[in-house]
Amino acid sequence: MAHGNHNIEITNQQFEFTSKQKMFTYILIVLGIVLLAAGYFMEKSNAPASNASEITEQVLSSHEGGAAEGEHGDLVTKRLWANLLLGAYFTFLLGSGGLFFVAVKNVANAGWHVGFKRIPEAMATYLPLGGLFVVLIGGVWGVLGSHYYHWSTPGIMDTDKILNGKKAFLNPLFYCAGLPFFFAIWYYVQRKLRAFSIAEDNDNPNVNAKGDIMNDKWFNKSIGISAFWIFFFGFTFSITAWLVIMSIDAHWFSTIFSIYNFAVLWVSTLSSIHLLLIYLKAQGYYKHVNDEHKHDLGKFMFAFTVFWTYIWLAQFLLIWYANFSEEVTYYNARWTSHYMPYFITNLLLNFVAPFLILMTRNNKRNPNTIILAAAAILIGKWNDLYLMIMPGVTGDYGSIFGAMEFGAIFLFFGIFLHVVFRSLTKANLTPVNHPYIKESVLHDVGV
Amino acid sequence: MRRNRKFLYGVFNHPDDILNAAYSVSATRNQILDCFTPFAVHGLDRAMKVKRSRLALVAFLMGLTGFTLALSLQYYTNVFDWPMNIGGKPAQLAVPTFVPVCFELTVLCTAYGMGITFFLRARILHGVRETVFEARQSDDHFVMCFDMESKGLNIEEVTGLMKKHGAFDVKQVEMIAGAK
Repeated sequence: MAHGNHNIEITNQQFEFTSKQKMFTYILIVLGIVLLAAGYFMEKSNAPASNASEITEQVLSSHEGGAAEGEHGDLVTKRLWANLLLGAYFTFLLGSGGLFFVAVKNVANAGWHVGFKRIPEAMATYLPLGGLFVVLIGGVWGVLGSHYYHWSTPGIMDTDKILNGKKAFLNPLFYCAGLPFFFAIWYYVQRKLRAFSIAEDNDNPNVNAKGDIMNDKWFNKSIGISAFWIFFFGFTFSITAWLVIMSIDAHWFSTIFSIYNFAVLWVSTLSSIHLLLIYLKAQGYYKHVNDEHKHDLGKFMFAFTVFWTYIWLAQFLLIWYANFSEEVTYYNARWTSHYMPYFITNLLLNFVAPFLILMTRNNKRNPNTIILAAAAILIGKWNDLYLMIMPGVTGDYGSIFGAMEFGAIFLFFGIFLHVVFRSLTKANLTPVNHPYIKESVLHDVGV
Repeated sequence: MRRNRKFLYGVFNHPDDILNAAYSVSATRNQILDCFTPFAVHGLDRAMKVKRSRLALVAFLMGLTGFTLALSLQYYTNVFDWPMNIGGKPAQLAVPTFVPVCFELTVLCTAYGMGITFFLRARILHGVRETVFEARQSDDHFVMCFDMESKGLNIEEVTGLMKKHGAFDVKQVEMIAGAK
């Protein structure tokens, strides 16, 4: 870095969605569909019919609410549905995480991230599609179509006292109309923030004699709507997590569940932003984003890895310690069951690996170690969601993983990447007229 | 032994001036002893070629101490010396119950250990008088200081560089370091 740092050249580049990248996302999507179909039909021909009765019996005897019920679709189809729900929900989390990143930075008046702000912005453009997938797979197929959610089984509210008490919340109308309503508002906010950001690019920056951008009209506009959305998001995201994931085990509840899901959202969002940033830098974009920014993103990942662990333990410890039968069934089905390897892997990938990898300064500034840590985190978060969804839907049947699991995740990440890359092409890669762009380029975390 | 030492210092009006002066002095063979500024000047540490602090290592070791302390305390009391049946939890090594105490003691030892080490190392201790070259170094002026006994200090070159970058005052002073 040279001294006289007043004359900062901010070079703007336009992202080009090359045919190679397009092909990659298409291959992911097609491969996903092929694997899903292959896994589905292979499992179908293996016919876990003998398996199913055993599991149903076991599950019913252990009083596990949401699990296999025989009459509502067979286990293989349930597993297919659960995998699709996982993929849709995971990518949807990344989309809302992108918006949350932008909103939080706006409200905090932060400047360091402005250089690569278009990456989370592009991730947020996946929101409408991701929300649609969640509502279609979870609501239309899971609740209205096949009653994969235990509580949506017709007549269950008359026989089940506990579920009857939750009727005001757990009902198809709230799921299928409430969620789209929330997502529509999120989408509106995303559209607004994106529009402000792009309008800023085309507006007069009003540069003063010192080279500072004085036009902060659009930035100021985005603060208010961001603040509103964070407030709104806090409540509606909680409801989303309860409805989509927690209601799979409808008898069970955890008061920290939405924060736990938020931790999953935030850590995987930070990892994805970092991975995209490293990728785009390797492609020759983002020359002004350097080790300093990566260092701070790495710190963020490190910090929220510990946050996730804290929340995970807070949920686990209380339930394990109190040992109430209606609460502890959740961990019975996940720890003292065939899911035990996932349970151990969960802690290794989500806490031990990233915690040790990201601890030192050099590792936070080195793309290779970051890729390693981010991969551990993303695979770990998939594993975490798998543990949240699968035992409740299929019982022990889903504890051996196969082609379907890979298929669902390839399919949704293919779509997600396609949307993100397409959105990156639609605006300058750098918000050149953002009032904090200079601060971002000069960002320095010190020696 | 406390003895008088000779210092050379320049006073600047603007953070950018001292930053630029630090860059050009670091480019020569002269060693800057320290800079005193009323607020943190971004990039000054890099300009002065300050070595990276080893405080992070201290933090790690302190954290490890706290963790070991917590684990051994709990193991000794709950497993070795007086095992108790609490809620039917395994008496040997009920790992989840150990976690909160381990976490808290790790944080406690890291925070206190790091803070105390920092105060000791930076000589911010009770009874130690602060080094004041220029009364306004904590108000609106910026002071760059050299130890005149340091090897290879070219006084004329340093004075010239500081003046060139806007030092309005360059002085030599003899005083006991750490006290006026």
